Amino acid sequence: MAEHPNAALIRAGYEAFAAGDMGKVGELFSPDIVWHAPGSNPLSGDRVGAEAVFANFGKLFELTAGTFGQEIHDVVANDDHVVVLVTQWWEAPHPHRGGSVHVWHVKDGKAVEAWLTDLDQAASDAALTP
Amino acid sequence: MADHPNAATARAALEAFQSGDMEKVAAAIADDAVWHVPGSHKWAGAYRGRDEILGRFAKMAAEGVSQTQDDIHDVVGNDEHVVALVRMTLTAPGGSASTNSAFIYHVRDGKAVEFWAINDNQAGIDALLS
Repeated sequence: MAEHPNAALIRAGYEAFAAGDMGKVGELFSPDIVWHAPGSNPLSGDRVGAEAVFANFGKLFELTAGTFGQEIHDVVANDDHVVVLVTQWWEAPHPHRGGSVHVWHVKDGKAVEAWLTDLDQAASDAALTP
Repeated sequence: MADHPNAATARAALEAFQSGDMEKVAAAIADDAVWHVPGSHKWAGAYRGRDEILGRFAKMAAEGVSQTQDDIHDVVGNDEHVVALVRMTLTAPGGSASTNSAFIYHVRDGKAVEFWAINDNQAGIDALLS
């Protein structure tokens, strides 16, 4: 079956993120997006609003010294939710490679809420804590 | 858009699990499926083959441990993967622990061949079942 339109929408967002096109990423976010980052590391916690989410992206790039990368394994979607299965990696503050699941709530073609989860939360917490 | 057929199958299997219809659950799992149960408790780890996967639930029940899905929040699917967003409670002689979970199924020919789960209260589950 063809990919759900919401899957294509979010997939395009990850491609824009990888290309550093934050303007395009921003177009996918509802202005009042709610962001839930898991675990207990400097990036953890809830962020409300696109500005706060982009500030967290900045913190991620700074913390990982520009070494953050991710590769999409699959994008699964329906009318309400998009789930992205990804592998993520970085070299700093400590090298890490692991699987994550990102759950997006999509409404009217915009991301309104995101829950990030890591398969091995303890490992990613340790690798993100300087 | 209508549910993907793989999502509909998984939803039916989760509902069958909830009503104790393990034959119907078994029909949705491939003979050689692999189940990855997260955490550090005595029921965590990899279970290989449908008999071992279902046998785990029977052994848990024999020790007074039960798992109930309080809410199937959503089930998304495509040709290869299904992700179920559920709220579940594990009950053991020592108490109970509830968690939001993402169940990830790799699907082939309409049956689950591999399973991973992420729980947002892994610590609570580990404490209950260890």
